[in-house]
Amino acid sequence: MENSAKKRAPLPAAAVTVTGVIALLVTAVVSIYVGSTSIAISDVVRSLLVFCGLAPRDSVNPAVYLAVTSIRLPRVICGVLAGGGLAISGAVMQGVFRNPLADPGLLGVSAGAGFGALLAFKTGLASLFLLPAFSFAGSLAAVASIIGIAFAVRGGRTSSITLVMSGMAVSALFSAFTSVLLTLSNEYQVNNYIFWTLGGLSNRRWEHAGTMALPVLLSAALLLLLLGRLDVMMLGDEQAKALGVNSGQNRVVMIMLSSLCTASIVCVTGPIGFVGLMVPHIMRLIVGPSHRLLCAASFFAGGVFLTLCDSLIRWFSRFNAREFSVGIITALLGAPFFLFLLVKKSGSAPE
Amino acid sequence: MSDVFVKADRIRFSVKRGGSEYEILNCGGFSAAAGEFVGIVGPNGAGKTTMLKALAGLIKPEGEIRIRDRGGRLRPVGELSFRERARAVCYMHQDTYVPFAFTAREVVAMGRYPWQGRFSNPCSADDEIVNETMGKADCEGLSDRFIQSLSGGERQMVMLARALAQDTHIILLDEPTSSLDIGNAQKVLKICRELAKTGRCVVAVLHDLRQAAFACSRVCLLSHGRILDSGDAYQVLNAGNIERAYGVKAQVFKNPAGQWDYFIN
Repeated sequence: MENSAKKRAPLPAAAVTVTGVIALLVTAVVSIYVGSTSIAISDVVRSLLVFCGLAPRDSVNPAVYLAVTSIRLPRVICGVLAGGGLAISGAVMQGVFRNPLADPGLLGVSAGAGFGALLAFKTGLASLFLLPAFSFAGSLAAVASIIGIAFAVRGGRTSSITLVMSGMAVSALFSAFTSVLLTLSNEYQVNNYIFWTLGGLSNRRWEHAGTMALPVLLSAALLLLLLGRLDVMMLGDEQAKALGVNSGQNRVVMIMLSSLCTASIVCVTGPIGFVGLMVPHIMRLIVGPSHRLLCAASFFAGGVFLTLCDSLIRWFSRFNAREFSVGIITALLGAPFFLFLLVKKSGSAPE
Repeated sequence: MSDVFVKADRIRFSVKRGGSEYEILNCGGFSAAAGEFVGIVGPNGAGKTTMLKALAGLIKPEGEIRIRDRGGRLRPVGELSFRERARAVCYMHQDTYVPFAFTAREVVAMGRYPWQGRFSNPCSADDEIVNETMGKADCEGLSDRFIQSLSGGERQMVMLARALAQDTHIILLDEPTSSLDIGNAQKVLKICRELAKTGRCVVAVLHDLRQAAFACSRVCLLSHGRILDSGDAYQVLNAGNIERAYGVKAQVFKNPAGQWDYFIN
């Protein structure tokens, strides 16, 4: 009894990690295999082996190798990072605000990013690197002003409700800026902006993956270290303080990390909805609400989910010249599945 | 009073709203020692919860509050680190809401947080303490139930088990019996008495004067933020004090079981 009790805690963590890594690898290979032109799965695997230095270079057709490693692989890595990062940020936001409806965009990240992107289109500076830079700056401006306001109001003892309300106000402000700018834009700029708001992974290259990788992985790793105390924070600020956790301080740190993570994703992919909201919910039903495990599982599941959605788009693009945006698929697939889970599980696991 | 665990001197707490200041608590001195089970009673808004929070170090009133740390020294509560304080004092508040589907057992296990390292998983000693406190609070049967699916009273028992799992020598409970049936209320009071008997110091806010008179080793009557009287229940809870604090006429008598009882008319 005591032995099984002692082993109980680490076992699911190991199981989740192993399952997650395997699922990610399988999804990645499948996703590289699917595309507008067909490449045999053996060629995909061989190209990847060459890429990792595990097979001689001449064992694969150079054109195929190039398509796999410089077009499809970076796109898949972008998908894994974006999906994983959005899901872990969503899980953290839901915990920090003790609210299952919170999502990574709650504190103005999306509104700020949208404004920044439109500014880039409007000024004609929307190049491969400047577009992400503009929208990243927009996100940070929004989040920084929200945290600044919360500090000014409560002198650092930031309550959830102050943060949510200033988040709503700042989001509305940035949306208004965006509307003003849209009114002043020409049709071409408006079209570009609308296409950006659909969110997507098409034509994302190594540069994009590189831009995202460091902030996403770093913030995810730091969050996973801090998350032990988020469970205690579920008891409420006072009770958490009585258990030795400074809720106000931890809340701000966790919000900053998940906003950084979200901002560095959204600036590359545009807003992708539903991943940050739904993946944590689905994972909570599977691994339970304890945050460290939940967030690790959400990272893997988010990566798998977004990559699969993106594969589906590329498969569709064989029949249709124009690619759908991945944000459309995540909503089309995610929303019904989420509703199904809600109905099925509502009796046994109340949210 | 050599083994003082909590000591408050000239504490005053007020909130400012719209330019004017409302005084919530202004009491000269309060202390509680090892082996005591002190009941804090008084009308709504008398400052009972505020007093408990101040003793727990959750709010910072004017004046000085000292608590005994794990090493046995009486130190100002603000001087202790969060973790040191959490190993010395536990506090159970009235709100038992927990979002998300945590099981009762997971909630009780959160009480072990101050004793765990940042990276270590709960060890078997933690598990044993969780089992033991859930047994003590009679909620082992609820172990795998989701916390939100429990009734208010059941949740309160789980929260008590969580507070006890913190394994502190000072135990502060804010209305631990408020949603309990008479059987469970009696059980909680018995647990408090036993904890005091083992040398811990229990301070609980209670509303039921009968419960306070029956179970507490000392009663402290608060009214309008001040300590009206403090001492043995039969001395403090007399008709005059009750009328002064609550504004009602009470008859105080010994019931057939030989305990102090109150009839309000």
